[in-house]
Amino acid sequence: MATKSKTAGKGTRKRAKDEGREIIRVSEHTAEIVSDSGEGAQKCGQIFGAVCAKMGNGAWTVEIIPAEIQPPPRSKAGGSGNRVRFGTERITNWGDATNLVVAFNEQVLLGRHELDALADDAIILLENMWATHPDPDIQQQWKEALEALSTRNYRIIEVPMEEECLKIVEDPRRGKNMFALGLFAFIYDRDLELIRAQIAHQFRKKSEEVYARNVLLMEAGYAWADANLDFRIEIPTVKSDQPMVVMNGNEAIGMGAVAAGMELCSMYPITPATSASHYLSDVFDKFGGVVHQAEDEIAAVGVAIGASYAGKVAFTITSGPGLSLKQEFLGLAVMVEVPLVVVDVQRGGPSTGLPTKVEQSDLLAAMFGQHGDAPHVVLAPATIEECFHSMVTARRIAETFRTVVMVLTDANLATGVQPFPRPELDPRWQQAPVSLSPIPEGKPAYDWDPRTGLSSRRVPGQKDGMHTATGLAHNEWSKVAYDPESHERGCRMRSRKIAVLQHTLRAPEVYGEESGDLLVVGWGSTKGAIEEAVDRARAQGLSVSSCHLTFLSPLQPGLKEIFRRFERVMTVEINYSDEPHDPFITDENRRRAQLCLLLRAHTLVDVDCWSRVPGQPLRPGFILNAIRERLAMGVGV
Amino acid sequence: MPSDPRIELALRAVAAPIDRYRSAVVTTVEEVRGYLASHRSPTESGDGNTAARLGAFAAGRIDYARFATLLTEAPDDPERLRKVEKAFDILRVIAAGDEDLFKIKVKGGARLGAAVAKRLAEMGRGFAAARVAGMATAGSLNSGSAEELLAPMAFERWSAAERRLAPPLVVELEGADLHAGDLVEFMDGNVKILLLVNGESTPAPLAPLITPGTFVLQTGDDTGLGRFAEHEGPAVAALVPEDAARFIHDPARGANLWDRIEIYHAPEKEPRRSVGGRSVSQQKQELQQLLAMGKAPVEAAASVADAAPVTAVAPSGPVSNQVDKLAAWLLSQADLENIG
Amino acid sequence: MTHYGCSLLSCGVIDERTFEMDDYQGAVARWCPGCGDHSILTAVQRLLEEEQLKPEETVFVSGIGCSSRFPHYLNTYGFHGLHGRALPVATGVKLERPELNVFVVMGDGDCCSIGAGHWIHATRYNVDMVALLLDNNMYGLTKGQTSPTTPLHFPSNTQPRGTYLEALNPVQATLGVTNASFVAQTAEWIPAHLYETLKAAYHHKGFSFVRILQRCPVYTASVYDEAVRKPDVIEMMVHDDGIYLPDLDQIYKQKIVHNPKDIDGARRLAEVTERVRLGVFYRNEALPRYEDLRRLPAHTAEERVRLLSEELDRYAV
Ligand SMILES: Cc1ncc(C[n+]2csc(CCOP(=O)(O)OP(=O)(O)O)c2C)c(N)n1
Repeated sequence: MATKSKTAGKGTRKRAKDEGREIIRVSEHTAEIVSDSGEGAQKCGQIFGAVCAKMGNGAWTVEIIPAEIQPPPRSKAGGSGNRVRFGTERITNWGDATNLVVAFNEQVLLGRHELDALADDAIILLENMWATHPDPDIQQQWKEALEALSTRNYRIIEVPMEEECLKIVEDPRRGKNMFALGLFAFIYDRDLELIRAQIAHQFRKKSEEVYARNVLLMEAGYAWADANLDFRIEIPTVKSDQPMVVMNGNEAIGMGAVAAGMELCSMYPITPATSASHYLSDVFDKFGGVVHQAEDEIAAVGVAIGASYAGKVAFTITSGPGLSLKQEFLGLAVMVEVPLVVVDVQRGGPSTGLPTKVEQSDLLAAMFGQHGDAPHVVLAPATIEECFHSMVTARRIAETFRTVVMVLTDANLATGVQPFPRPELDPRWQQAPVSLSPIPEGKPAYDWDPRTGLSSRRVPGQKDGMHTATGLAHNEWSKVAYDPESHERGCRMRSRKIAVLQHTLRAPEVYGEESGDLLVVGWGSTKGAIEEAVDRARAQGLSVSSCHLTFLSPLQPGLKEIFRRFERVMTVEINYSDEPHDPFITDENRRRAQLCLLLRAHTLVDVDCWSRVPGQPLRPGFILNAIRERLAMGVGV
Repeated sequence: MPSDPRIELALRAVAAPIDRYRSAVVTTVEEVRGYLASHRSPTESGDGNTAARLGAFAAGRIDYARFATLLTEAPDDPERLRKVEKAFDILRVIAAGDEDLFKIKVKGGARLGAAVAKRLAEMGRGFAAARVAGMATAGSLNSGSAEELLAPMAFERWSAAERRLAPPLVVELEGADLHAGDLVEFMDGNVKILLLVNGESTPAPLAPLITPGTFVLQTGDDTGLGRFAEHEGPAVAALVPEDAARFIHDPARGANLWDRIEIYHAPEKEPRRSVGGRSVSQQKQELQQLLAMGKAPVEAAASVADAAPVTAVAPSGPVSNQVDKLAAWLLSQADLENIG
Repeated sequence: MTHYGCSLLSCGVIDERTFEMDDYQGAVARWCPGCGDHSILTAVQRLLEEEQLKPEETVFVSGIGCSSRFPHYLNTYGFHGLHGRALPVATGVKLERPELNVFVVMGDGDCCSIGAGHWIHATRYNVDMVALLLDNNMYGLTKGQTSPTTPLHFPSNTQPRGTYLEALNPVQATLGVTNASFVAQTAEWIPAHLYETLKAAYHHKGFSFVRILQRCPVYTASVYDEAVRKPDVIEMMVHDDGIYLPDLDQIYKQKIVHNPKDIDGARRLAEVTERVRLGVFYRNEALPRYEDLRRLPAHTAEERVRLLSEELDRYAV
């Protein structure tokens, strides 16, 4: 292997060499890398994001996923990569537009341009091999693309990535990403030791040789940038005084499951939930936990229910289509009062929909997808940190209330990477749910407290506790009972539990002033973007606050009271709703966003909504526009 | 860490039974932890405990005091709780114990049976602790002082279920001290004893232990150790010196003695010296018996009858579960140092 | 945590109970008079008594159907779940609590139609449990619709002019699944054979699939008529390693010696003929069991917290 590249200094800052270089000082920046899929841009972005976090920047990383499964090379729809928003302060969402992009070809770049993903003054580092490509068609495409790009104030810097990489490797498709990482490392003055450590972490399953080659390539990118760029970007880092960890939402769910003492994850592969089970499959053994890949989603939830019935702590994880398949079993779990945690990593629907992209459109299916009346609990973590901690709470609630607890995350949380305070683990989270002590005589299988509906758990092995759990209507002895009183009582007891849980909940906090012109209500992963939009709106003198709901069933108390303090209330969600002024749409027939619908029914307040289904997280800037628009329109009073 | 490769081999052989035993202890530890968590008095458990159990996601969202009213079961009597806590500690020590718990060395000239009995009794303290905790969870632990419940418990007092979960033992000893008769009383439940024989031994020291339900193995290497560990029922094995017989008696291999015994090495040299008080002729007899057991009568080979595997003989040792009898043990303070 | 760990808490209790048939008796069975399920229930109770299975350590999991009412009529633990989904639930129970005795009761619609996917995979997992297919060739509970095992041309309420397709052969199908370890067929009207088959299934370590030919006096009264009236229609597969009941020789004269180790022979014998073959088709205890393959040592909460803390170190900033 050729080793021509100069090594860039081992993490030492070379301020002297920056003389004459423009130093751009900003408090935050959004950088991205795009390539054809398979060129490793994702890995580059992941490493860069992790390094930023480790250096003490706030960060939020989002994957750029191709719009097609097998896009041809160099196509606008084929851009794959990663987008890292990072700054001195905490970053809570993916932000608006990209400020700096490294692109492996002009077509994927054009795709990003057309999606309006790039800021008007974005800096672009573009592979230039295509300009002189032997294929005249490609040369032509290059010319046309650069023309289209010239309509903006982009600053385009051509980089001979291929040429430079060829000095080190034979196939630059394997390694250009590390060269790009070196570019980022130089531009943002990142700690090279940390980068090397992160490369080692990413490629830990590969050989020493792979590691060494990747480091060389990264260093070559660094050296090229040092020699050729006349600017650097400085984003002050602040080392947190608290120990921090950095991971994506699916890893957080997996780790949270371990922290919660889960013993079984029973699943069937489905994007974007799968990576959580990949993570668990890697580590669960160590903790005595098993990932069971069942023959389908129905069996997956069935096995989890069987395990839970037998006294173990089990959960299942899925996404939209899988949730649909599990519904019958979820109703059964509610009916027989078997505790169960279900994680739904939401993606775009209906049907196969947008398998890799974010949406918040499973809320109603999660709440009401079971036939009959099947009251249960629905939670929605809003951050990656909450993905971790929600598993502990979900388990405890499931067991205390003998019911199903659904945890709704989404593709944005699943793949987003964010640093957060290192959880302080507590062995009490892990506590075994049951003991096999004998059942006293005369104690029914469901010893429902007539006030609360709560009953004590019972599992096989408990002497004198024999009974048949049944999905048929049953009395407290779990005997099939079709009489009106038994069925009504069963329904009442199961429903009462949800009321009792609601009774232990606190009212949600209002972000911003306690009253005003507009209250924006959200749930799940949109929290950071909504709060940023509210901050900006308030800075512009608008009287806007927000309120983020984490309990969706039961809803937290006090909502009506909070809503009354605002002139208008509007939910912001990533699921479909009719726009009020679209053809045929009237106030009467308008299909509203899912949380909006719930809140209207729940509070009898005329809650409005603004929702989009772009297959992307919402941008704070867009939410801000919606806020201004709605305030101007006065809709929904 | 054991440097003797034979000890390593032996510990590897009993790794699965150790896991099984330890897993049962660990499961019990966690159950008892759960019991303690929900039966401590409210002042002890309180909001802090509820908060801890609900995790950080609940902070600011759940009113701990209200939630706690749903969680706490009736607090247990402090006296009883103390006993359960003590039992909990004993179980935890065993759960955390390393390989040394499962290994003993019989000093030259000492009694094998006594050494095994002593260690099993010490391990039996775990079962005793589980009994205490079990009675507490079942609500049948009375509040009278009965500390001795948590003392070592001799094998003869183990219940059938406890014997099935018995920990395996690796025993290092001199061939001269290997008297199979010493082990007879332990050949029950799922007891697994693996002997590492040093020095000279008689040719077939374990032959007297061959009974329909007992797995018996003499070997020089890892041959048969997998089956030894997997056998459901009592099993004894010895890593014997070069010139001893090597054979397997595996109860799962059929109803006939000759189907179950596989002798794959008979000593070439006749015994010439007495070993551990057993004369040359006694040793010859021992070997003859083994060889005879391994031979099939000619006509028997034609049989097609192949009955179900013989299961272990029902355990003996009447142990009363009566509370007052158990209560009689609770005299002395549990002494954790003795374990391991 | 499918670890070996069963709790020690009740181990020290000396259990001097002995159980009689009555101890296993649950609610009074509400099947139609003449329904074959009654005799299966009796045989199962006899097995429980004979094996002295502790009621609290025995779990019957069922789906939905007439036959799936089974657990209610026993005084053991039971789980009467969803149509077609008994096997996944039972798998979850056994995977996590290997010390329990797990039985699964399914109808032919349950097992061979809506739950067919689970049937194949449960066979392949080979989790140690007894799976009983109570095959009356018809949907009973929902009042007479065609099932996958309904004989060709036999009428039902959904196919009143007779079924269009040849019946699915559950024994053949199971024998075709990789890792199938025990496949037997018996008939509820021959109680001695039924009992012996259940016993063999119970003693087999692995997934024991037993198809029980079951009369339904309401919808398929005529299907097994011939087999019941003419013992010569039945061919007993006998072997010391399978089932051999000399007492039945008098009535069931058609016999064939079949070694249950012989998978090819088993598959040949499973093919449909005018003969109804009863006995053990296949038995192999050497095949891997999923719950054993997935078994792990248990850890205390402290150990898990320590390990998780190490795991967090890997993600530390
Ligand atoms: C998902 C679902 N689909 C349909 C049914 C209606 N259903 C109940 S039992 C049954 C078939 C019963 O036949 P079988 O499984 O052969 O059992 P049998 O009643 O004959 O014992 C059907 C279709 C149901 N309960 N659930």
